[in-house]
Amino acid sequence: MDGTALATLKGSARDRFRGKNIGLVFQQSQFIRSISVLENLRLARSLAGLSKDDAFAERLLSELGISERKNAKPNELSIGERQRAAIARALVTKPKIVLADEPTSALDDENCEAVAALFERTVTGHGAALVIVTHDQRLKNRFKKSVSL
Amino acid sequence: MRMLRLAYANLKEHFLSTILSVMLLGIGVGMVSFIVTVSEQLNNRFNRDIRGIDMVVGAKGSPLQLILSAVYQIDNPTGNIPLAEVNKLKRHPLIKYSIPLSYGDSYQGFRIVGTDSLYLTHYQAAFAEGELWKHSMDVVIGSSVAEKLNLKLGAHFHGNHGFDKEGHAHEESHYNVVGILMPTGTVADRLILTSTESVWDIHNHEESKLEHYHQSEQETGEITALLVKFKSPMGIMQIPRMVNEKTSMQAALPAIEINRLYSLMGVGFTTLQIIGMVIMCIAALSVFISLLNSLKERKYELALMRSLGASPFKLFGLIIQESLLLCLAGYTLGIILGRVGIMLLSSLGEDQFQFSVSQSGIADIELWLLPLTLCIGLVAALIPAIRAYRSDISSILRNE
Repeated sequence: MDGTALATLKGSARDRFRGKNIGLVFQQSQFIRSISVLENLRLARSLAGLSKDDAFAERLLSELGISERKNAKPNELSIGERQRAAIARALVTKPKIVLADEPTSALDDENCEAVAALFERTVTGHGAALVIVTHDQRLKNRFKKSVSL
Repeated sequence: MRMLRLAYANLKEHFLSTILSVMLLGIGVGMVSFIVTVSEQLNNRFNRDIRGIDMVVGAKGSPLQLILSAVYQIDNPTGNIPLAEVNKLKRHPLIKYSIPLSYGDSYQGFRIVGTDSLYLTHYQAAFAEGELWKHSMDVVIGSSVAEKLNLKLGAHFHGNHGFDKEGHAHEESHYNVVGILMPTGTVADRLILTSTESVWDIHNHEESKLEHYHQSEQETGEITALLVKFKSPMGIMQIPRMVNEKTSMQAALPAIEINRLYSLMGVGFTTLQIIGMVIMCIAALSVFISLLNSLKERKYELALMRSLGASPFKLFGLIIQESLLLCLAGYTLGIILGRVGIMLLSSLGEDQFQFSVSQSGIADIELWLLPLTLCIGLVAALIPAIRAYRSDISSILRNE
Protein backbone atom coordinates (compact mmCIF):
# COMPACT_ATOMS: atom_id res chain seq x y z
CA MET A 1 0.00 0.00 0.00
CA ASP A 2 1.35 3.39 -1.02
CA GLY A 3 4.61 1.77 -1.98
CA THR A 4 4.98 -0.05 1.32
CA ALA A 5 4.58 -3.77 1.72
CA LEU A 6 2.57 -4.06 4.93
CA ALA A 7 3.84 -7.54 5.65
CA THR A 8 7.39 -6.24 5.92
CA LEU A 9 6.54 -3.77 8.68
CA LYS A 10 7.18 -4.89 12.21
CA GLY A 11 5.64 -4.02 15.56
CA SER A 12 5.34 -0.36 16.31
CA ALA A 13 6.33 0.68 12.78
CA ARG A 14 3.22 -1.12 11.59
CA ASP A 15 1.14 0.58 14.32
CA ARG A 16 2.38 3.93 13.23
CA PHE A 17 1.81 3.23 9.56
CA ARG A 18 -1.75 2.19 10.36
CA GLY A 19 -2.38 5.31 12.39
CA LYS A 20 -1.05 7.54 9.66
CA ASN A 21 -2.51 5.98 6.56
CA ILE A 22 -5.69 4.21 7.52
CA GLY A 23 -8.73 5.88 9.03
CA LEU A 24 -11.14 3.55 10.77
CA VAL A 25 -14.83 4.03 11.49
CA PHE A 26 -16.38 1.35 13.65
CA GLN A 27 -19.91 0.06 13.86
CA GLN A 28 -20.29 1.60 17.27
CA SER A 29 -18.07 4.59 17.52
CA GLN A 30 -15.45 4.30 20.24
CA PHE A 31 -13.75 7.21 21.91
CA ILE A 32 -11.49 7.86 24.83
CA ARG A 33 -14.21 8.77 27.30
CA SER A 34 -12.16 10.87 29.67
CA ILE A 35 -11.24 13.57 27.17
CA SER A 36 -13.22 15.89 24.91
CA VAL A 37 -13.99 15.36 21.23
CA LEU A 38 -11.32 17.82 20.14
CA GLU A 39 -8.77 16.17 22.39
CA ASN A 40 -9.71 12.82 20.87
CA LEU A 41 -8.85 14.23 17.47
CA ARG A 42 -5.57 15.63 18.79
CA LEU A 43 -4.73 12.28 20.31
CA ALA A 44 -5.37 10.54 16.99
CA ARG A 45 -2.81 12.79 15.29
CA SER A 46 -0.32 12.43 18.09
CA LEU A 47 -0.58 8.63 18.17
CA ALA A 48 -0.03 8.55 14.41
CA GLY A 49 3.16 10.51 14.97
CA LEU A 50 1.80 13.65 13.31
CA SER A 51 2.20 17.18 14.57
CA LYS A 52 -0.63 19.06 16.21
CA ASP A 53 -3.05 20.68 13.75
CA ASP A 54 -6.02 22.12 15.59
CA ALA A 55 -7.06 24.29 12.69
CA PHE A 56 -7.56 21.25 10.52
CA ALA A 57 -9.32 19.34 13.28
CA GLU A 58 -11.72 22.20 13.87
CA ARG A 59 -12.36 22.59 10.15
CA LEU A 60 -13.31 18.93 9.96
CA LEU A 61 -15.64 19.28 12.94
CA SER A 62 -17.34 22.30 11.45
CA GLU A 63 -17.69 20.58 8.05
CA LEU A 64 -19.43 17.79 9.91
CA GLY A 65 -21.58 20.28 11.79
CA ILE A 66 -20.40 19.50 15.30
CA SER A 67 -17.87 22.24 15.89
CA GLU A 68 -19.89 23.64 18.78
CA ARG A 69 -19.63 20.24 20.47
CA LYS A 70 -15.86 20.06 20.28
CA ASN A 71 -15.32 20.49 24.03
CA ALA A 72 -17.99 17.99 25.02
CA LYS A 73 -17.10 14.55 26.33
CA PRO A 74 -17.92 11.75 23.86
CA ASN A 75 -20.61 10.39 26.20
CA GLU A 76 -22.46 13.66 26.02
CA LEU A 77 -22.94 13.40 22.27
CA SER A 78 -25.95 11.86 20.54
CA ILE A 79 -25.35 8.73 18.48
CA GLY A 80 -25.47 10.71 15.26
CA GLU A 81 -23.03 13.28 16.57
CA ARG A 82 -20.75 10.54 17.77
CA GLN A 83 -20.74 8.89 14.37
CA ARG A 84 -19.83 12.19 12.79
CA ALA A 85 -17.08 12.76 15.33
CA ALA A 86 -15.78 9.29 14.51
CA ILE A 87 -15.60 10.25 10.84
CA ALA A 88 -13.74 13.41 11.79
CA ARG A 89 -11.28 11.37 13.77
CA ALA A 90 -10.79 8.96 10.89
CA LEU A 91 -9.95 11.88 8.62
CA VAL A 92 -7.88 14.00 10.96
CA THR A 93 -4.72 12.08 10.14
CA LYS A 94 -5.30 12.67 6.41
CA PRO A 95 -5.27 8.94 5.67
CA LYS A 96 -4.94 7.37 2.23
CA ILE A 97 -7.86 5.07 2.86
CA VAL A 98 -10.82 5.06 5.21
CA LEU A 99 -12.27 1.72 6.26
CA ALA A 100 -15.79 1.82 7.66
CA ASP A 101 -17.46 -1.14 9.29
CA GLU A 102 -21.27 -0.97 9.33
CA PRO A 103 -21.15 2.76 9.99
CA THR A 104 -24.90 3.21 9.60
CA SER A 105 -26.37 0.16 11.27
CA ALA A 106 -27.23 2.09 14.42
CA LEU A 107 -28.80 5.01 12.60
CA ASP A 108 -32.30 5.78 11.39
CA ASP A 109 -33.00 6.57 7.76
CA GLU A 110 -32.51 10.26 8.08
CA ASN A 111 -29.17 10.03 9.89
CA CYS A 112 -28.09 7.22 7.63
CA GLU A 113 -28.66 9.45 4.66
CA ALA A 114 -26.75 12.26 6.31
CA VAL A 115 -23.80 10.06 7.27
CA ALA A 116 -23.62 8.58 3.81
CA ALA A 117 -23.59 12.03 2.30
CA LEU A 118 -20.91 13.08 4.75
CA PHE A 119 -18.79 10.11 3.82
CA GLU A 120 -19.05 10.88 0.20
CA ARG A 121 -18.39 14.51 0.58
CA THR A 122 -15.71 14.58 3.21
CA VAL A 123 -13.77 11.42 2.55
CA THR A 124 -13.52 11.82 -1.15
CA GLY A 125 -13.19 15.57 -0.64
CA HIS A 126 -10.02 14.97 1.35
CA GLY A 127 -8.57 12.67 -1.25
CA ALA A 128 -8.98 9.37 0.54
CA ALA A 129 -10.34 6.12 -0.73
CA LEU A 130 -13.37 4.81 1.12
CA VAL A 131 -14.21 1.18 1.76
CA ILE A 132 -17.47 0.44 3.55
CA VAL A 133 -18.46 -2.97 4.76
CA THR A 134 -22.19 -3.08 5.18
CA HIS A 135 -25.39 -5.08 4.78
CA ASP A 136 -27.36 -1.88 4.83
CA GLN A 137 -29.46 -1.68 1.65
CA ARG A 138 -29.76 2.08 2.05
CA LEU A 139 -26.01 2.43 1.58
CA LYS A 140 -25.73 -0.17 -1.17
CA ASN A 141 -28.12 1.85 -3.26
CA ARG A 142 -25.99 4.89 -2.89
CA PHE A 143 -22.54 3.66 -3.88
CA LYS A 144 -21.86 2.25 -7.29
CA LYS A 145 -18.78 0.13 -6.76
CA SER A 146 -19.59 -2.83 -4.64
CA VAL A 147 -18.25 -6.30 -4.02
CA SER A 148 -20.88 -8.75 -2.84
CA LEU A 149 -19.83 -11.82 -0.95
CA MET B 1 3.43 14.65 27.59
CA ARG B 2 0.22 13.82 25.80
CA MET B 3 0.17 10.43 27.52
CA LEU B 4 0.63 12.03 30.90
CA ARG B 5 -2.35 14.30 30.28
CA LEU B 6 -4.38 11.35 29.14
CA ALA B 7 -3.39 9.47 32.29
CA TYR B 8 -4.50 12.43 34.37
CA ALA B 9 -7.83 12.65 32.50
CA ASN B 10 -8.42 8.94 33.07
CA LEU B 11 -7.80 9.29 36.79
CA LYS B 12 -10.22 12.19 36.93
CA GLU B 13 -12.79 10.11 35.09
CA HIS B 14 -12.61 7.42 37.79
CA PHE B 15 -12.75 9.97 40.53
CA LEU B 16 -14.00 7.83 43.39
CA SER B 17 -11.59 4.96 43.08
CA THR B 18 -8.79 7.48 42.51
CA ILE B 19 -9.73 9.23 45.75
CA LEU B 20 -9.82 5.93 47.61
CA SER B 21 -6.37 4.95 46.44
CA VAL B 22 -4.89 8.36 47.10
CA MET B 23 -6.41 8.48 50.59
CA LEU B 24 -5.13 5.03 51.50
CA LEU B 25 -1.68 5.85 50.24
CA GLY B 26 -1.75 9.21 51.95
CA ILE B 27 -2.71 7.77 55.31
CA GLY B 28 -0.06 5.06 55.04
CA VAL B 29 2.69 7.46 54.01
CA GLY B 30 1.58 10.04 56.55
CA MET B 31 1.54 7.53 59.37
CA VAL B 32 4.98 6.16 58.62
CA SER B 33 6.57 9.58 58.23
CA PHE B 34 4.82 10.84 61.36
CA ILE B 35 5.94 7.94 63.52
CA VAL B 36 9.49 7.95 62.28
CA THR B 37 9.86 11.70 62.71
CA VAL B 38 8.36 11.72 66.18
CA SER B 39 10.41 8.81 67.46
CA GLU B 40 13.56 10.33 65.97
CA GLN B 41 12.96 13.67 67.62
CA LEU B 42 12.02 12.05 70.88
CA ASN B 43 15.26 10.10 70.74
CA ASN B 44 17.23 13.22 69.93
CA ARG B 45 15.74 15.22 72.71
CA PHE B 46 16.10 12.49 75.27
CA ASN B 47 19.71 11.95 74.33
CA ARG B 48 20.53 15.65 74.32
CA ASP B 49 19.16 16.19 77.80
CA ILE B 50 20.83 13.13 79.19
CA ARG B 51 24.29 13.84 77.82
CA GLY B 52 26.94 14.01 80.48
CA ILE B 53 24.70 12.87 83.32
CA ASP B 54 25.93 9.52 84.59
CA MET B 55 23.76 9.15 87.65
CA VAL B 56 20.84 10.82 89.34
CA VAL B 57 20.40 10.64 93.09
CA GLY B 58 17.02 11.31 94.66
CA ALA B 59 14.50 10.00 97.14
CA LYS B 60 13.54 6.34 96.97
CA GLY B 61 10.80 5.49 94.52
CA SER B 62 10.54 4.64 90.89
CA PRO B 63 13.94 5.13 89.22
CA LEU B 64 12.25 6.03 85.95
CA GLN B 65 10.21 8.68 87.72
CA LEU B 66 13.37 10.07 89.24
CA ILE B 67 15.03 10.34 85.84
CA LEU B 68 11.95 11.84 84.22
CA SER B 69 11.56 14.42 86.94
CA ALA B 70 15.18 15.36 87.52
CA VAL B 71 16.56 15.17 83.98
CA TYR B 72 13.59 15.81 81.71
CA GLN B 73 11.52 17.84 84.16
CA ILE B 74 8.30 16.11 83.14
CA ASP B 75 7.27 13.82 85.98
CA ASN B 76 6.76 14.73 89.63
CA PRO B 77 9.79 14.35 91.90
CA THR B 78 10.01 11.27 94.09
CA GLY B 79 10.53 13.33 97.22
CA ASN B 80 13.37 15.13 98.94
CA ILE B 81 16.75 14.01 100.21
CA PRO B 82 18.67 15.37 103.20
CA LEU B 83 21.52 17.68 102.36
CA ALA B 84 23.77 16.05 104.95
CA GLU B 85 23.80 12.79 103.04
CA VAL B 86 24.17 14.58 99.74
CA ASN B 87 27.21 16.47 100.98
CA LYS B 88 28.83 13.26 102.14
CA LEU B 89 28.27 11.70 98.72
CA LYS B 90 29.59 14.77 96.90
CA ARG B 91 33.01 14.28 98.42
CA HIS B 92 33.41 10.82 96.93
CA PRO B 93 36.65 10.79 94.92
CA LEU B 94 35.09 9.20 91.84
CA ILE B 95 32.63 12.04 91.34
CA LYS B 96 33.78 14.70 88.91
CA TYR B 97 30.99 17.15 89.65
CA SER B 98 27.44 17.15 90.86
CA ILE B 99 24.52 19.51 90.39
CA PRO B 100 21.87 19.95 93.08
CA LEU B 101 18.22 20.40 92.09
CA SER B 102 15.41 21.64 94.33
CA TYR B 103 11.80 21.93 93.34
CA GLY B 104 8.83 23.54 94.87
CA ASP B 105 7.31 26.18 92.71
CA SER B 106 6.29 26.82 89.20
CA TYR B 107 5.13 29.79 87.22
CA GLN B 108 2.53 29.45 84.47
CA GLY B 109 3.38 25.79 84.12
CA PHE B 110 7.13 26.32 83.94
CA ARG B 111 9.15 24.80 86.76
CA ILE B 112 11.22 26.93 89.04
CA VAL B 113 14.32 24.92 89.80
CA GLY B 114 16.79 25.74 92.51
CA THR B 115 20.29 24.74 91.45
CA ASP B 116 23.76 26.23 91.08
CA SER B 117 25.69 27.67 88.16
CA LEU B 118 27.01 24.21 87.22
CA TYR B 119 23.61 23.46 85.72
CA LEU B 120 24.11 26.24 83.20
CA THR B 121 27.65 25.11 82.47
CA HIS B 122 26.46 21.55 82.01
CA TYR B 123 23.90 22.45 79.35
CA GLN B 124 26.26 25.02 77.84
CA ALA B 125 23.68 27.71 78.35
CA ALA B 126 25.01 31.15 77.57
CA PHE B 127 23.32 34.36 78.59
CA ALA B 128 21.39 36.25 75.96
CA GLU B 129 20.83 39.07 78.43
CA GLY B 130 21.60 39.72 82.05
CA GLU B 131 23.69 37.55 84.34
CA LEU B 132 23.61 34.83 86.97
CA TRP B 133 21.54 35.27 90.16
CA LYS B 134 23.30 37.06 92.98
CA HIS B 135 20.60 37.21 95.63
CA SER B 136 17.87 34.94 96.79
CA MET B 137 14.77 35.23 94.57
CA ASP B 138 16.79 36.23 91.52
CA VAL B 139 15.95 33.96 88.56
CA VAL B 140 17.46 33.17 85.19
CA ILE B 141 14.90 32.04 82.61
CA GLY B 142 15.28 29.70 79.66
CA SER B 143 14.67 30.97 76.14
CA SER B 144 11.27 29.25 75.68
CA VAL B 145 10.07 30.62 79.00
CA ALA B 146 11.06 34.14 78.02
CA GLU B 147 9.37 33.77 74.66
CA LYS B 148 6.13 32.10 75.83
CA LEU B 149 5.54 34.25 78.88
CA ASN B 150 7.00 37.34 77.28
CA LEU B 151 9.18 37.99 80.32
CA LYS B 152 11.82 40.66 80.02
CA LEU B 153 14.87 41.42 82.07
CA GLY B 154 13.85 43.02 85.35
CA ALA B 155 10.34 41.52 85.32
CA HIS B 156 8.76 40.35 88.58
CA PHE B 157 6.34 37.47 89.13
CA HIS B 158 4.83 35.35 91.89
CA GLY B 159 5.40 31.61 91.78
CA ASN B 160 2.71 29.00 92.32
CA HIS B 161 3.13 26.20 94.77
CA GLY B 162 3.50 22.87 92.99
CA PHE B 163 3.55 22.29 89.28
CA ASP B 164 -0.05 23.05 88.38
CA LYS B 165 -0.83 26.16 86.46
CA GLU B 166 -3.50 27.04 88.97
CA GLY B 167 -1.73 26.25 92.21
CA HIS B 168 -2.09 28.72 95.02
CA ALA B 169 0.21 31.66 94.60
CA HIS B 170 2.93 32.41 97.08
CA GLU B 171 2.38 36.01 97.91
CA GLU B 172 5.81 36.08 99.48
CA SER B 173 7.62 34.55 96.52
CA HIS B 174 8.45 37.58 94.54
CA TYR B 175 10.90 36.58 91.83
CA ASN B 176 13.06 38.97 89.81
CA VAL B 177 14.26 38.07 86.36
CA VAL B 178 17.99 38.88 86.23
CA GLY B 179 19.05 36.78 83.28
CA ILE B 180 17.70 35.28 80.06
CA LEU B 181 19.43 32.33 78.40
CA MET B 182 20.13 31.68 74.74
CA PRO B 183 18.30 28.70 73.25
CA THR B 184 20.20 25.47 73.97
CA GLY B 185 17.81 22.92 72.47
CA THR B 186 17.72 21.20 75.83
CA VAL B 187 15.51 21.04 78.87
CA ALA B 188 17.17 24.23 80.16
CA ASP B 189 15.13 26.26 77.66
CA ARG B 190 11.95 25.46 79.51
CA LEU B 191 13.08 26.12 83.06
CA ILE B 192 13.15 29.02 85.44
CA LEU B 193 16.45 28.64 87.27
CA THR B 194 17.35 30.11 90.60
CA SER B 195 19.64 29.43 93.50
CA THR B 196 18.96 26.56 95.87
CA GLU B 197 18.69 29.13 98.63
CA SER B 198 15.72 30.82 96.97
CA VAL B 199 13.74 27.59 97.09
CA TRP B 200 14.69 27.07 100.71
CA ASP B 201 13.82 30.62 101.65
CA ILE B 202 10.30 30.40 100.29
CA HIS B 203 9.46 27.08 101.81
CA ASN B 204 11.08 27.73 105.15
CA HIS B 205 9.06 30.86 105.27
CA GLU B 206 5.92 28.88 104.56
CA GLU B 207 6.77 26.19 107.02
CA SER B 208 7.50 28.63 109.78
CA LYS B 209 3.94 29.75 109.37
CA LEU B 210 2.81 26.13 109.57
CA GLU B 211 4.04 25.84 113.14
CA HIS B 212 7.47 24.46 112.32
CA TYR B 213 6.42 21.06 111.09
CA HIS B 214 9.88 19.99 110.09
CA GLN B 215 12.18 21.66 112.45
CA SER B 216 15.14 19.41 111.73
CA GLU B 217 14.89 19.85 107.98
CA GLN B 218 15.37 23.53 108.32
CA GLU B 219 18.60 23.02 110.09
CA THR B 220 20.14 20.57 107.68
CA GLY B 221 18.33 21.54 104.50
CA GLU B 222 16.99 19.35 101.75
CA ILE B 223 17.26 19.15 98.03
CA THR B 224 15.19 17.14 95.57
CA ALA B 225 17.80 15.47 93.44
CA LEU B 226 21.45 15.48 92.49
CA LEU B 227 22.78 15.09 88.96
CA VAL B 228 26.17 13.39 89.02
CA LYS B 229 29.02 13.13 86.54
CA PHE B 230 31.69 10.53 87.29
CA LYS B 231 35.40 10.90 86.81
CA SER B 232 35.73 7.44 85.31
CA PRO B 233 33.52 4.47 84.43
CA MET B 234 34.63 3.01 87.73
CA GLY B 235 32.06 5.33 89.32
CA ILE B 236 29.17 3.50 87.66
CA MET B 237 30.44 0.24 89.09
CA GLN B 238 30.69 1.45 92.68
CA ILE B 239 28.67 4.49 93.55
CA PRO B 240 25.08 3.56 92.57
CA ARG B 241 25.30 0.38 94.60
CA MET B 242 26.75 2.21 97.51
CA VAL B 243 24.02 4.86 97.43
CA ASN B 244 21.23 2.33 97.15
CA GLU B 245 22.53 0.09 99.89
CA LYS B 246 24.02 2.45 102.44
CA THR B 247 21.94 5.61 102.28
CA SER B 248 18.29 6.55 102.45
CA MET B 249 18.63 7.82 98.90
CA GLN B 250 18.21 6.19 95.54
CA ALA B 251 20.63 6.25 92.63
CA ALA B 252 19.29 5.84 89.11
CA LEU B 253 21.29 5.56 85.91
CA PRO B 254 19.69 7.59 83.11
CA ALA B 255 21.12 5.44 80.34
CA ILE B 256 19.49 2.31 81.74
CA GLU B 257 16.16 3.91 82.56
CA ILE B 258 15.89 5.56 79.18
CA ASN B 259 16.66 2.31 77.45
CA ARG B 260 13.85 0.77 79.43
CA LEU B 261 11.56 3.61 78.40
CA TYR B 262 12.55 3.19 74.76
CA SER B 263 11.83 -0.49 74.84
CA LEU B 264 8.38 0.29 76.21
CA MET B 265 7.68 3.02 73.68
CA GLY B 266 9.44 1.09 70.97
CA VAL B 267 6.71 -1.52 70.96
CA GLY B 268 4.12 1.16 70.33
CA PHE B 269 6.17 2.84 67.64
CA THR B 270 6.89 -0.42 65.88
CA THR B 271 3.22 -1.38 65.98
CA LEU B 272 2.16 1.93 64.49
CA GLN B 273 4.86 1.68 61.87
CA ILE B 274 3.68 -1.78 60.89
CA ILE B 275 0.10 -0.54 60.67
CA GLY B 276 1.32 2.26 58.41
CA MET B 277 3.11 -0.25 56.20
CA VAL B 278 0.04 -2.48 56.07
CA ILE B 279 -2.07 0.49 55.01
CA MET B 280 0.46 1.22 52.28
CA CYS B 281 0.19 -2.38 51.09
CA ILE B 282 -3.61 -2.11 51.05
CA ALA B 283 -3.16 1.09 49.09
CA ALA B 284 -1.04 -0.81 46.58
CA LEU B 285 -3.80 -3.40 46.32
CA SER B 286 -6.36 -0.65 45.83
CA VAL B 287 -4.28 0.90 43.06
CA PHE B 288 -3.92 -2.52 41.46
CA ILE B 289 -7.65 -3.28 41.61
CA SER B 290 -8.77 0.10 40.39
CA LEU B 291 -6.35 -0.06 37.47
CA LEU B 292 -7.51 -3.54 36.60
CA ASN B 293 -11.16 -2.49 36.80
CA SER B 294 -10.66 0.57 34.69
CA LEU B 295 -8.75 -1.60 32.25
CA LYS B 296 -11.73 -3.89 31.77
CA GLU B 297 -13.94 -0.90 31.26
CA ARG B 298 -11.47 0.65 28.87
CA LYS B 299 -10.46 -2.27 26.77
CA TYR B 300 -12.19 -0.74 23.75
CA GLU B 301 -10.41 2.51 24.34
CA LEU B 302 -7.10 0.75 24.46
CA ALA B 303 -7.87 -1.17 21.31
CA LEU B 304 -8.94 2.07 19.72
CA MET B 305 -5.64 3.67 20.64
CA ARG B 306 -3.84 0.77 19.04
CA SER B 307 -5.90 1.20 15.88
CA LEU B 308 -4.96 4.88 15.90
CA GLY B 309 -1.30 4.00 15.85
CA ALA B 310 -0.26 3.56 19.48
CA SER B 311 2.29 0.83 20.03
CA PRO B 312 1.63 -1.77 22.75
CA PHE B 313 4.47 -0.21 24.70
CA LYS B 314 2.67 3.10 24.71
CA LEU B 315 -0.34 1.51 26.38
CA PHE B 316 1.97 -0.13 28.90
CA GLY B 317 3.45 3.29 29.61
CA LEU B 318 0.02 4.86 29.94
CA ILE B 319 -1.03 2.46 32.70
CA ILE B 320 2.30 2.88 34.50
CA GLN B 321 1.97 6.65 34.31
CA GLU B 322 -1.53 6.52 35.75
CA SER B 323 -0.27 4.51 38.67
CA LEU B 324 2.73 6.75 39.27
CA LEU B 325 0.51 9.84 39.17
CA LEU B 326 -1.76 8.23 41.76
CA CYS B 327 1.17 7.40 43.97
CA LEU B 328 2.66 10.85 43.65
CA ALA B 329 -0.65 12.36 44.74
CA GLY B 330 -0.85 9.89 47.61
CA TYR B 331 2.71 10.68 48.65
CA THR B 332 2.03 14.41 48.64
CA LEU B 333 -1.12 13.94 50.69
CA GLY B 334 0.80 11.70 53.08
CA ILE B 335 3.55 14.23 53.64
CA ILE B 336 0.96 16.91 54.30
CA LEU B 337 -0.93 14.64 56.72
CA GLY B 338 2.26 13.67 58.50
CA ARG B 339 3.27 17.29 58.95
CA VAL B 340 -0.17 18.35 60.11
CA GLY B 341 -0.05 15.49 62.61
CA ILE B 342 3.30 16.65 63.88
CA MET B 343 2.06 20.20 64.20
CA LEU B 344 -0.96 19.01 66.18
CA LEU B 345 1.16 16.82 68.43
CA SER B 346 3.55 19.67 68.91
CA SER B 347 0.91 22.12 70.08
CA LEU B 348 -0.65 19.44 72.27
CA GLY B 349 2.67 18.24 73.63
CA GLU B 350 3.92 21.70 74.48
CA ASP B 351 1.10 22.21 76.96
CA GLN B 352 1.00 18.77 78.46
CA PHE B 353 4.53 17.42 78.39
CA GLN B 354 6.55 20.43 77.43
CA PHE B 355 7.58 18.43 74.44
CA SER B 356 7.61 20.08 71.08
CA VAL B 357 8.48 18.56 67.76
CA SER B 358 9.83 20.96 65.26
CA GLN B 359 10.25 20.23 61.64
CA SER B 360 12.35 22.25 59.33
CA GLY B 361 13.31 21.25 55.83
CA ILE B 362 12.70 17.77 54.46
CA ALA B 363 13.17 14.86 56.81
CA ASP B 364 15.16 11.83 55.68
CA ILE B 365 12.16 9.58 56.03
CA GLU B 366 10.19 11.79 53.67
CA LEU B 367 12.91 11.41 51.08
CA TRP B 368 12.94 7.66 51.58
CA LEU B 369 9.21 7.34 51.27
CA LEU B 370 9.16 8.89 47.79
CA PRO B 371 11.00 6.09 45.97
CA LEU B 372 9.20 3.57 48.15
CA THR B 373 5.79 4.92 47.14
CA LEU B 374 6.77 5.05 43.48
CA CYS B 375 7.96 1.44 43.71
CA ILE B 376 4.59 0.48 45.12
CA GLY B 377 3.03 2.24 42.15
CA LEU B 378 5.23 0.35 39.69
CA VAL B 379 4.56 -3.02 41.25
CA ALA B 380 0.81 -2.42 41.48
CA ALA B 381 0.67 -1.30 37.85
CA LEU B 382 2.84 -4.04 36.43
CA ILE B 383 0.17 -6.68 35.83
CA PRO B 384 -2.47 -4.26 34.50
CA ALA B 385 0.18 -2.68 32.27
CA ILE B 386 1.25 -6.05 30.91
CA ARG B 387 -2.38 -6.82 30.18
CA ALA B 388 -2.75 -3.57 28.32
CA TYR B 389 0.43 -4.37 26.45
CA ARG B 390 -0.84 -7.76 25.40
CA SER B 391 -4.40 -6.81 24.57
CA ASP B 392 -5.38 -8.30 21.24
CA ILE B 393 -7.05 -5.48 19.38
CA SER B 394 -8.64 -7.39 16.58
CA SER B 395 -10.48 -9.75 18.93
CA ILE B 396 -11.66 -6.90 21.13
CA LEU B 397 -12.91 -4.84 18.20
CA ARG B 398 -14.62 -7.87 16.69
CA ASN B 399 -16.65 -8.39 19.85
CA GLU B 400 -17.80 -4.84 20.21
